[in-house]
Amino acid sequence: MAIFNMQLHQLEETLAKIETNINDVQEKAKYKVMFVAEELLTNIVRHANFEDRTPFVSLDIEFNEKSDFNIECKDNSKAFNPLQQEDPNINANIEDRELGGLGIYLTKKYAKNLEYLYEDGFNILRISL
Amino acid sequence: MEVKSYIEGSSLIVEPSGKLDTFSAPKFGAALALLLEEKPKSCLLNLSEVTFLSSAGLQVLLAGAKTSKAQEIKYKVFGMQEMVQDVFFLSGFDNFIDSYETKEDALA
Repeated sequence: MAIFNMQLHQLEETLAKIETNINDVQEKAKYKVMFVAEELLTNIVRHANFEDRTPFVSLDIEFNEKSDFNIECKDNSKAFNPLQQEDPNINANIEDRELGGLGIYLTKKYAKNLEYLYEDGFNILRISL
Repeated sequence: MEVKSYIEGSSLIVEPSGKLDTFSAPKFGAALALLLEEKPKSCLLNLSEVTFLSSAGLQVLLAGAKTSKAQEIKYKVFGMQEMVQDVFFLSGFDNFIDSYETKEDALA
């Protein structure tokens, strides 16, 4: 198990640390973890509203030898449930296809289990891959 | 991330390599937009050296497809690695971007 605490300006180095930490994991599992980690942390850096609080962002990653991953993303920004975001219309034609929303959509596709809760002032998103 | 490009027949071949993630995808997007401004007849993206494609990378592929459609440029991708292809298909990009295994297939 590894816990990555991130300052908002440390996105790139945090993702690099995560990648180093899971380097020995099977390629496909590693890809999915990095995809999800980038998505969650990027969304927080770009969109989260911390109001007047000092931003707290952490990502806990637990995995076993079978490459089962449990990821918990926790932050103290304003309550926001990404699972309620509407899925992009993946059958749309090129003219109507919109640029956003794909990251969380694919995160949902890759996850075996997903749960969101808002507890004691923290957004908590748990994902098993 | 690096981008190489060259002309083959009437096709522009664009070859990004490395990761297309939240940091590098915008650089690739800028390079691709510039190349499409030259209005080639067709633009083929060789993705065989792309090791990681995140939603930021998908957005660049989509933006390129939209520009190409508007400019009547044929836009295709080829050579995707397994997980890159997985992300591409799960996102429904096969609905509007033709993908091929090899450059020969894409040129045919």
